[in-house]
This record gives sequence, structure tokens and C-alpha cells, in this order.
Amino acid sequence: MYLFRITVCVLGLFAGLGCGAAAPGAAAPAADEPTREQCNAAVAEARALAASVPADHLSRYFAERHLHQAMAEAGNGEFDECLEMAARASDEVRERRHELRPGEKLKVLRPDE
Amino acid sequence: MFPSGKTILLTAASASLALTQSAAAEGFGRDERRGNPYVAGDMHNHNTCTDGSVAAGYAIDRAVGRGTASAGGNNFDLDWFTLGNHGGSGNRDCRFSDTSANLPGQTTTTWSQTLGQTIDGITISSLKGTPNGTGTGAQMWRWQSIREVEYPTIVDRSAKYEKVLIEGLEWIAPGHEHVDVAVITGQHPTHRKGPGNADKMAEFEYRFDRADTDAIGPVIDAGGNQLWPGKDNVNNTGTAGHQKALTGIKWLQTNYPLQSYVIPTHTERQGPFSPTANKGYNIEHFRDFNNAGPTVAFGIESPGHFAEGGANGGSGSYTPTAVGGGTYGMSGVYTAKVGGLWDGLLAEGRNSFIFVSSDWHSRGAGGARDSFTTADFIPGEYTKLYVPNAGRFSSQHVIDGMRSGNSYSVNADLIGPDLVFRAKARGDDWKTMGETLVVRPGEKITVEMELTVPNENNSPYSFDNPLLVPVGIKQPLNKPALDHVDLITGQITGVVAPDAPNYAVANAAGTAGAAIVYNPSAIIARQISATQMKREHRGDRDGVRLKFTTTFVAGPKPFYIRARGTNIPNGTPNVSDTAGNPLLDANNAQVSCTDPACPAHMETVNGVKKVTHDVQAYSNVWFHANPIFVRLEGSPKLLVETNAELARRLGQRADNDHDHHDHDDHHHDHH
Repeated sequence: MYLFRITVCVLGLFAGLGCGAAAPGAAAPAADEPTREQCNAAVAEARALAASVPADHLSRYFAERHLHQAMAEAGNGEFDECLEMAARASDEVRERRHELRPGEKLKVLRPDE
Repeated sequence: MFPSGKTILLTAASASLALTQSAAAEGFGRDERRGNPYVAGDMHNHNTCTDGSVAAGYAIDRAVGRGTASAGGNNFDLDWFTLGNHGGSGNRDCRFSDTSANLPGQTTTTWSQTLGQTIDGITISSLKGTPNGTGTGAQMWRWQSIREVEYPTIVDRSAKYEKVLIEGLEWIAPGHEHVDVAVITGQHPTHRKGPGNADKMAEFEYRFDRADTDAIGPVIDAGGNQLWPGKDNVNNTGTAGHQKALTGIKWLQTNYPLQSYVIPTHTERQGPFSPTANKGYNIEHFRDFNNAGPTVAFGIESPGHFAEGGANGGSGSYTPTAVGGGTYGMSGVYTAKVGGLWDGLLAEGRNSFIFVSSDWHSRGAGGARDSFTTADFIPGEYTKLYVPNAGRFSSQHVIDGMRSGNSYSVNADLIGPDLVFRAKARGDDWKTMGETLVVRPGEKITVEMELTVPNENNSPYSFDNPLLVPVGIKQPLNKPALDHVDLITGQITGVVAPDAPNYAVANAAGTAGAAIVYNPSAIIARQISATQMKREHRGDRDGVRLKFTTTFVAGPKPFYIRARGTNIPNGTPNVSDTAGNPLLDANNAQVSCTDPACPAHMETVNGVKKVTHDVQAYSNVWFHANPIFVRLEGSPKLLVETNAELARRLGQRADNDHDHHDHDDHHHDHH
């Protein structure tokens, strides 16, 4: 089974963690809109939760994919969808929504295949 | 159109501004599709310019290319494609796919890494407008990526594929969630005089997208003077946001009444509208949209994200807090429920039509080339939006077809590109979807439907549909099968005025929202089993042609007839009720997938695989056809008719002035 692992470094590149200061001169978001800080916190919490699951568990892989998408949403400035994807990652881990049967594999094409 | 003096003034202005628009329409000969009465497309999908997983060019390649992609994976050969990506901004360079797509040689790349480089013939020298983030977080405003990245990519791919490609937008609307928009004015990617531009699309995004908070936009001189001055960057939320959204729609209606569309999408997802937030739509907002833009705001898009369904629901990206609590037959409750919100709009005789698209972002747990998906399908893979094939098909014909209502939406290739759905009273005066049949009281109305059920779809699975195993039906997931067609009718009681007490209707999140009845007269008037239809086998490649005819008797009131079809029999446990209505799709996950071939990525409960993700999508399959309207001779014209007449008048004015002013640049067909 190939489990694509997302490193913190790549995630940082992806969403520009810590680099996304509000644009000076641009309009500020509405007060009740989710913020980048909330997004980052939710992702960090979900990532810690995912790290508690064995590395070869399918739910950990799914959670990491959700977190990758959460960062994509953040990179697009859609922090509400970031929170949604982080919540999905947390639920995935808590409920172990995906698991393989003995001998079963999830085949995902690697970039070099 | 809702009659008002203001609208008349707006219409007159629209006509003069429509003069040069027809010259921009792109047309291509389509010999190989000339026999199909409809052509398939997708108008809602994403790439790495925003939150998608693949490069803009790669998304187009997979959607409209044929055969197999160079690095693997099937292409889906759509006839037309609108690149409908979010507004706002993005930090990734969308000439590259994301690392998560697992494509050879492609890694997540940000604008900060590529500024000044020429890649795919495109050079981005700077990130324009109000500075937005630093380092790898430096973001390009979408108005810039629309103009400088996506549209040049469309120009490149238009020449390569000779298909109709349009630069559109998924508008993050003030006060609401998302809306599919396109403005084709200026876009003529293969024109002999030059490829044009997507500046009008970009200007709309800059002015009206609430996620685009740039206060500068493009400048026209070294002094920093703005090309698009006067942006409202304040009223983006709640009720004020809704008013700004209406301003945006009026801007389109005034300037591009025949060359733009505004179609709210996944409209139930974030629950009811909130006057203090940015979410949702109630029926009054659809009414407001159509009143503000009678020839541009003419419908609703059902959600994409068809493979997101898990053990607790989630198909269509809907959570239990969505209006309706989730999807029903892979549609939102507004359009899936008989008597629901869409029927409420049709009860006014309003030109409100439904559409569907992929909302492609990624394949979830899979990379872009994998055959399975736990999130979205690539455009053309699962969902097809059919509009009439106008022969020399063009971007203008995409919009004209959508506006006319003569279109239908199909999941999993349940039916093909040659639907016939029409009605007549006498003689041979057939009226089809979006049109109005005028009859005498008591007259017999003949309704005819013909459709083709293809031999195969794009499912990678050939095991039997697990939702139908409990009822003893063996139906391979890769073989489309029609169980029945419903003809749904509802009375038309007239346009509801904005000051009428029932113009706004209280809405509700969750399953409570599914209980709201907007048109109590809407019923499943006929249900025609596929076994009752005339059958013509068209060979191993082309599938089976099915036909039926039925009749209605004209009553004293106008009404409409819309159609839907499915592979799901009435009363299928956890899927449909005894009348044939789809149940909440989250129930599908009550059914276990026990075939040895059930794939590894399905969600499990206590170690047992459940009908989820793409298996659910290929198991629970529907198509929806837009309505035919019927009214009595001598009765007032319906809004759908007067708005169609408005579009015709605007088109005639544009054609007359265009013929008068510019014969050389004529680049679209007259019919």
C-alpha cells in the first residue's frame, strides 16, 4: 500500500503558513467569518490527532489527505472550507472510518508510476 | 421579467450594450457530433489557481481530451467546458498540479517561486493589486489569474482541441455562498483577428466577489490610476451582501444580458440564508436574482462532489446542517423534492431551470490518475450537462441553450445525448423543455419521450449495484439501467410580487428543511416503467432506445411538466420511498457492500464496508429534464415566455446593429 505522506514542510509551502498576513489596503473580512488563525489551529489539532493513529492505518491516510485539502482551501482564502476539511480529518480519525481487511491494499498511483 | 419601469430602462440600456457582443462568440465545426441533438459539458470545476488539485491546463485536458491521458487516466471527451473556478485569490501557480495529484514531475509550486519565469508560454512578472501575503503565502488575486493564466490556457487548449472552452467563475457571492457565472464577451480564443480576452469576466470577479478584497485591481498608467474604479469593498455580508449580489447581477443584465449567466450552486449546503453572515439561499433570493437578471439568472445548479458520501452522509459535500440534511438522489432537496423550492419557482411560471456539474477539485484519497475517487469526479466522468447542439456550436450557444431551458442533466450516463421530451396539443406543433404550449380548455395534450440508455458508463466497477441486491436485482455498476421515468406536474399560480407576504418563505436547516412545501400542487403525475416503454436495441455500442407517449387533459389553470428518471425502483430500502422519491442519501450507507470486489476505499462500520463514495454515486443514479410549460389560449403569457421574448428582442437588436455596423467581424451563426 502506498500512503502518501504530507510533510509539514510541504504544507507550509502549500498554504504559506505564517505568511498570510491580511493584505494592507484590502477590505477586512466580516467579523464572524473564520480566520486563517482558526484554520491553522484546527489543522494543527487534527494533525496531532492523526499522528496518534498507526502510520499504516487507512484512516490516518484519509485524514492527511483531508488536511492537505484544508490547506488548499486556506491558500485560496476559504477558511470556512478549511475548518470543514479539518473537521472531516478529525472525524475520520476518531471514528476510524476507513480500514483495510487483512491482506487488502489501497492502491494509489505514485508519481513515478 | 417582473414588470417595472426600472426594468424597462434597464432593458433599453442592455440592448445598446449588446450590439457588439455577438461578434465575440466562438464557433467550431463539429462533424463528429452533428448527429447528436445535444452536446455535453461542465461549468463548475477547479484547479490550482484556487483550491483544486491539478493545473488549469491539465483539468481541461482530462475533461475534453479523448482516449487516455499521456501520464495515464481516462479523458472524458466533453463537447464544451467552462472553467468555473472560485473568486478571491490563490498562492499556488496553476500552471502546475499539486503534489497530492501524484502526477509525474508535478509538485506544489507557489507564485513566489516562479515570478519572472516563462512557463507554458506565460510570464508572470508580478502579483498585482493590493499585496496579499508574503513568501510562499503570496497570493495572486483571481482577476489577475483569470486574465493572465486561465484565459491564455484556454486559448492554448482551444486551438489544440477545437472545442468550446469558456473562462468562467464560481462567484463567492456577497451574502451567500457560491454561484456559477460566466461572461463570454471578449472571449474568442481562436478568432482570426486575435484571441480576445477574459477582461469582462475578470472585472466582474474583481468588483463583486466577496473573497476578492483587492482595493486596486489593474492600473492603466504609471500613476496607478485604476482600470476598474468604484469598487464596493464593504457590503459583502448578510442582507447588505445580498443587495451587493443583486447589484452584480444587474451589472451583468445591463451590460451582458445575452452573454452571461448567474446560476447559484450547491445552494442548500450552508443551510438557510443568514442576514448577518454569508451563507445559503431562501426562495426569495432566487426570486430576487431572477427579477434582477431575467435573462442571466435563470436557474439553480445541483451539487457536484458526488463521491464524498460516507457512512454518515456527505454526498454533494452536504453535512446534516444543509437544508434537507443532505442530498436526495445526488441532488439537493430544493430540486429533488416534488413540491420543493424549485417547484415553488416553477409555480410562478418563472424561467428557472436546473443544471448540474462536477465541482471537480480532487479525487480525495486518490491521485488524479487513479480510477477511484472518494471526493469528486473529473468533468465529464460522471456528470453531463446537455445543451442543444446548434451545429456550428459556440460559446454563445452554450449560454443560449442554458437560458432557453432546453437542457437536461445526467449522472453516470443514465441516458445519452439524444433525449426527446416534448408535448403538443394538435397538429405537429411540438414544444420542448423551456417552451410553452398554448392549449384550449379540455384539449388532449400528448407528451412524448425518447431516450437512449447507453451500454456503459465510466464506472471502474463491474460488480452488481449493492443498493439493489436487497431487492434481488443484479445490475452491474458499469452498465446504465433505467427503471422508470417520472413526469412531475405542478400548477402555475402566477408571479409572486416582491411585496407579497409569501414572497419570502421561512427556511430551515437539516431535515426540517425537507418538510417545507413550496408548491402543494406538484405531484408525480405519471410514472412510466422502462419495461412499459417501446424498446429499440441499437447495437452493442450504442445502447437501447426507449420511447413512450402519454396524454394529459388541459385543465383550467396553466401548469408545467418536468421529468426525471432513475435506476432505482420504488420502495428500494434505504434509497427510495414507495412513490419513487429519493430518500436522504445518507441512508444508502445503511446498506453493506458485500461483493468481494467492493473496493478498499469504502467506509466501514464495525469492519463492514458500506455503500459510500464513488460506489454510492454509481449505485444511485438519476437524470433531470427541465419543464415544458402549458397555458390556455387567451391567458396571460407566463414569465418564462416574456423573459424569452426579452432575450429574443435583445438578440434581434444586437443582430440588427451588428449587421449595420460590422459585417467583417461576424463570427456566429444565424438560425
